[in-house]
Amino acid sequence: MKKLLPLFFGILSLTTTAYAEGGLYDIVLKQVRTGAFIEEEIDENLLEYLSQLFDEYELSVDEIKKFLTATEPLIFCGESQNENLSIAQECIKAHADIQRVAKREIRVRDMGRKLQMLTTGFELRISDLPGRETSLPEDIRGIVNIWMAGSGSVQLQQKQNTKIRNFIDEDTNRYESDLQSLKDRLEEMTQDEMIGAVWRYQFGVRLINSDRDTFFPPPYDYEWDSSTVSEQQYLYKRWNKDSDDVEAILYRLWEIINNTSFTTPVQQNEIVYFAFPEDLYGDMLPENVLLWARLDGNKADNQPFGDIGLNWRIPAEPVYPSLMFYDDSYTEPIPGGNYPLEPVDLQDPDKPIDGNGLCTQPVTLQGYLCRPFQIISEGERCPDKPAQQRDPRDIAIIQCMNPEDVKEAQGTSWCCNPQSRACSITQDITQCQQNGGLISTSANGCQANGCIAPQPVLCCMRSTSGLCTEATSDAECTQNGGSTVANEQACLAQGCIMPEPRERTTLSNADVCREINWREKGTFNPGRECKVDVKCQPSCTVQGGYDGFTKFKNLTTGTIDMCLKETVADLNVTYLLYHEMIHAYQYCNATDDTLTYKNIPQGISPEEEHTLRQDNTNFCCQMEGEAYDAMCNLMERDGVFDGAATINGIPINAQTCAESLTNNACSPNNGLYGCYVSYNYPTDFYRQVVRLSKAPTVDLADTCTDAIDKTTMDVRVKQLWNHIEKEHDVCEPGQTNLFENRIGNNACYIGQCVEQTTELHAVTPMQVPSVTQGQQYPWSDPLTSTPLGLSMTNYQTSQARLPLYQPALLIQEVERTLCRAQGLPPLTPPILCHLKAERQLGLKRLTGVDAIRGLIRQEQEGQDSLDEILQLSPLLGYRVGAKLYADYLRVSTRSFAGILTNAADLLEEIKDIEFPTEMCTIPDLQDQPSSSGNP
Amino acid sequence: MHSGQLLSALAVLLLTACGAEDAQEISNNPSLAPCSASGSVFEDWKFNDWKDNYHEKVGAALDAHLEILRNVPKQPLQCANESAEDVIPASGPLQEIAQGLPAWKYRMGDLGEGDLPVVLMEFLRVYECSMFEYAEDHVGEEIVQGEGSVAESTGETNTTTAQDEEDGLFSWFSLISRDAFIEKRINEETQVARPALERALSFTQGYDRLHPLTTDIECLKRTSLDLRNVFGLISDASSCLPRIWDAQGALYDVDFEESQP
Repeated sequence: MKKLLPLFFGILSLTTTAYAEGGLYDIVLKQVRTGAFIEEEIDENLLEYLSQLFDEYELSVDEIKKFLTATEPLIFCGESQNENLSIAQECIKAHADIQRVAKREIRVRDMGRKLQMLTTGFELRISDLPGRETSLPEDIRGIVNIWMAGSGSVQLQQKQNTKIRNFIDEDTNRYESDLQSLKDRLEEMTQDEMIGAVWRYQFGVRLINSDRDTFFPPPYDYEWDSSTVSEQQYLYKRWNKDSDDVEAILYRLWEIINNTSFTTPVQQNEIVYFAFPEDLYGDMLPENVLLWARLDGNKADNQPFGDIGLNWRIPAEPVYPSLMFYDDSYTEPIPGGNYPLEPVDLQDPDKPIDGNGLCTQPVTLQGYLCRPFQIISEGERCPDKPAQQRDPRDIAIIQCMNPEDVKEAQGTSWCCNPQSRACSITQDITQCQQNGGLISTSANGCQANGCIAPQPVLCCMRSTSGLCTEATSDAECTQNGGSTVANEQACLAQGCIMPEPRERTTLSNADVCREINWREKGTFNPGRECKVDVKCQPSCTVQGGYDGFTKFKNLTTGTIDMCLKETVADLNVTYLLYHEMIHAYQYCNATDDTLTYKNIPQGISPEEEHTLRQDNTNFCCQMEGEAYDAMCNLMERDGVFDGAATINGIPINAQTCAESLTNNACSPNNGLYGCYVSYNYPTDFYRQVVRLSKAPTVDLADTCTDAIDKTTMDVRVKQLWNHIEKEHDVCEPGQTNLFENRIGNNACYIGQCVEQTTELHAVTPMQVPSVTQGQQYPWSDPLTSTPLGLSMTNYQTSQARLPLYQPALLIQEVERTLCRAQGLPPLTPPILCHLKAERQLGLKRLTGVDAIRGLIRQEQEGQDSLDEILQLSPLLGYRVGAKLYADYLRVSTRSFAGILTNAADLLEEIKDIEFPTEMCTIPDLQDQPSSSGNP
Repeated sequence: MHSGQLLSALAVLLLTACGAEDAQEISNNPSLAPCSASGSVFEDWKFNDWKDNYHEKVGAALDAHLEILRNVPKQPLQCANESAEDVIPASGPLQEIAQGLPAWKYRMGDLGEGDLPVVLMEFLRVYECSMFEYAEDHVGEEIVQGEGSVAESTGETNTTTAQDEEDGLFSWFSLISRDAFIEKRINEETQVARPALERALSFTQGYDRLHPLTTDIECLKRTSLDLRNVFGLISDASSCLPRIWDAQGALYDVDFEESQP
């Protein structure tokens, strides 16, 4: 049945702008009136469809409308003046036909609208799209953003390591012309087509075009033939005909958005959500339609989360089964009834493809709908019963996996043996189950089944990832190409590095402040800060050809130059690098040129020369002693000296290592007098000691290039390097710090100041906390001076606890919801809420039949409402969970406020310190006992 | 005593026995209120305006409700209140509807935005009752009282012709048309009004469900901002800490080199 119609008639006559012109109630009222065939609200698509479907009656659209609104066919046909249906019997038949088909179609559409509104009511507020009415995820990100420490974005999830940033784009002028084109294009569509187009690009145009297929294949991986006449046409249609079509316009907008410049560059693991100003939606897009966009910093994978698309502000209408097919030259009614037609999931032909796009978004990807629900034990609640063949017509919102599938997907199945109560990895699931065992997919799952899982072993994956990872057994470690190690240190010694720890640590303790960008750009202060510049050379020729050396800090540039030989004959380069880093750390504190060896000029007296050499020796023993001490400690912790034989009865350990090396560095060979030693070391002792670091068991980088490569360098060297360059003097006197105004950042700053104060202050004379040699400060007289009164207060501990789970309240909430929908107070059981027969009896009816109809309908009304709410009641669980979380935060926030009060008290005490107004009397130095106690 | 007077006296006695409070309670209970336009806004409106006025007021109340929920960040909130129900008072349109309902007009003090579904359902019930009452009673009255009454009560002027009015003749045809019009209007509205309200309430109930959480989160956000400001002040104060590190040493003003023995 094809009718050639002028294009303009086909398109323009059905053009409508009836999208949410009013508020919510207007939308709903219009939907209900359309469903009830109220004359002025009849669906134009339906009229056109009926007109062409019943072409034998040759009725115009207006005439069809009259047939639909006529409730009494006898009267209607008696009054009808239609020439084609002049015989009453034919007219009555036509009336019946039209009414029957129309009611059927309207029922489908009305059901779609009802479901859509229900879903929207429940889901709209947890939508993650900027521009929607409300967005809980956005609010939560905002709160996390206020609280967190750091300068970047909000980390979405620790495991995934994805960060999300919201970007409010006020510069809408650059979008203007393309948005106008988009609006024109959408508004020239029929209502059904426009609904289809907006839903089609709800997950993004790039997804549809396979631009994100590194991670996310397009939802429908086949070409939909645009000439296919199907009621599903708008589910799969592409609007990509020319440069003025929807896809081309969206791509132009994508290019604009992609070229946005950010003050803080987008990191590789960062996603930027664009939020557009309100007027963008009001003026430049059709009513109720919103535009969204998302950038992904992962350029290497072609921005797997980056996309742009359309969506609804209030999703009120679903994609309806199409009634009419329009082509350039003809129109055709679509009988329908073929669902599910093509396409189907190629992997599972019984299953129609639907909703795949949900799991291509960074936040929703974390939801339970995007994770398979693994069947662990029989009887577990799961929509897909593993023992039964699934009915392809079923719609299951949770994907279940059988243990076999899980094994295939994850490669590991755990068997819980009921006799031994031991967990073990199994390759034969059937045998495990035959023996009464329970299958699970993880060690935790096995433990949940009542068995005990073996302790994991540490595995150095040197040849693959280079990480220290946990393995379930030695065999698994070996199978994966790794080697089992006893502990973390041994793993590091083998050249593996620890994976990025969840709790970032410095050398001493936890440091959540590490990512804060304390300094303003361009305000690098060479007087207080420093940069370490390491160069790998074939040889380090300065000062006589050392294996490595560190120059004193350049006070003008703040740079500390370091040279390392590419390969060193006797010492592992990583240890040498660590040694030189200690020197860099020493020099970094220098604020003048006094921290250096003294020059010995020619022509001075032997006594003067001796004094200078003695000074230089002391300086050398201090500086080299610290550096070698740290290096030898590291070697000892790595097990370099384990099992080493003594040399001339002298044991090899960190102490003898450091002493011999220091003594050698400050020896007469270098014009110095040597340092204190515990043993009379043989000349070659230090060399034999350091050679141990070249043993094959020491699996550290042994070329300079590898040792300083930040991706492969030893984590301890890396931490020290960072410490030197980034962790210093945040709270130094006169230092100006700029950081993002967040609670975490402020707390870090406060913490840093308090830490430095407790470590460095001399408020209590001769009791500088970080210095043990009080006699170094003889001007602080412990006898005459009094403490300034600063005391530390015990901090309040957090009283946060998990809130109570209150199922009774949950039930009451459900009842209240059910009853509210009926306009009644809560009743138990809630079924009482929709059995108020007296309401219908109280109504004055036109006829008795109306009263009976009313009674019947009332029950159905209540049942409909009940069904609707029950269908979505699982969502209550989510709400309750969220409420529990909010309760927890409420309590913990209060405790936190207590902690802050303590901090304020501490500062209050500082304020009350009374500083002396007069300089103290300097004691007579003659009467002052010396530090040694001699007169 | 005349029988009518006797009945009146008995009625007074009965009402007295029941007590005024009971009578008031009965009229206040939505499920026990009389099915009539009596005492409601429908008594004051012309029949032809009922449909538009009803939908307009319901729409306004729902829009105001959603507006409140959408604009939580812009509202003053009593975050310290124990119950989220107390946080938001009834919107203007909702108050206006409740004021026109017998079951609510005497307890406006109890009205909150959380009562929206109950009030709207009562408004719908009174609307339906009014329509059935009108169909049963008023059409008959129109017939008895003649065309003037028809035009006056309905606001319709096209049911009778100008010539009819001039002649002062009673037009049976116009009355039948009027009757058909009323029946059609009532039939349409009984088909539409209840499903529309129920569907809209289904939406708002889902939407409302997260409102306490949204309010909590907004309160948490505001608290966080306050805390941030507090932290900012403390960190400003902390920057003064280095000043006390060498407080005593600086005051001694001693040249270290000279003090050496």
